[in-house]
Amino acid sequence: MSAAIFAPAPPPDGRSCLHQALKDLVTWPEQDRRLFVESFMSHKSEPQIAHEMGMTPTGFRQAQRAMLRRFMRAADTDMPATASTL
Amino acid sequence: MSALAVRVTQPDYSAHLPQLTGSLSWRAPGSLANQLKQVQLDLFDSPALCAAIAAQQDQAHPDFMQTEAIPVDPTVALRDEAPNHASYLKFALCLLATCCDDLIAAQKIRANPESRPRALAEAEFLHDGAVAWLRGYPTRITFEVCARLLEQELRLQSLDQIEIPNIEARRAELAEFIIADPVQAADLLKHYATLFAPNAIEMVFDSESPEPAHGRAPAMRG
Repeated sequence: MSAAIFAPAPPPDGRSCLHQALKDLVTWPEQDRRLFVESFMSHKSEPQIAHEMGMTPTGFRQAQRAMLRRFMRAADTDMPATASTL
Repeated sequence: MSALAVRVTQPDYSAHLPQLTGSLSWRAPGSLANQLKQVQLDLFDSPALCAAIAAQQDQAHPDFMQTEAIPVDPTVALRDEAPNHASYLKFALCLLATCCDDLIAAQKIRANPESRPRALAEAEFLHDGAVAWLRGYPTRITFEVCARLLEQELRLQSLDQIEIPNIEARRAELAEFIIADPVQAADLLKHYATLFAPNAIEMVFDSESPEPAHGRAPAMRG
């Protein structure tokens, strides 16, 4: 029997893990979804995104951080971005 | 109950708050923070490599967050420009920057003698949430995954021309560095964002960045 059978499977790569964590992105609240999509799925600079979303750079930063904070702290079974005071 | 009142109770972070050991300063020889700083300085000193990285990122990459990988609401207007490699790295950097911002904000509130109880409670919430996540609190996107993503993307982005430390394996050290000195950590992240996410050069951070180490400024893309 090959020793390779007993070798532990490597962990999934970072991108796969992220894709899995974002599987219900479509269910996110509109603003959070747009913040995510524009921040990480476009070539736009953050000041440009802020302008297009009608925010100041500071307001955009705060909104983006709040979105990320909700996502980071969501339990695996939670909605990642339900409305919160944070 | 309204949706706005859904998440008012703080999770129990107690198991993740005890101090871990690790090198807490980028000045400590052999520390992960020191090695990450060195990567940054090496890149600053390699304009040809920086140019190669920029050229790579200028090419649209079909992999990142295409609809097969991540569902996107088709009503969201985008896709006029294809995303590039650097988006993954930018995402990892932004997660860490969020922790830095929270820790810095908590420090500022605590240091202000006029802070009211509500503000102090908020500072505790921000601090404990960031610390717990950095120390492995299990959430949908964990610090472990973030560290893995950061390490893998740094290798990809640097075109294997720079030795990238084992960030995932040494993530506890990275966590303690961020917790101990979030301002320095934010400064490091900002430089990485400038190097590897050229379309987000103006990526904004809450912290005021101190001068780069050794007084060297990035000599690269204008």
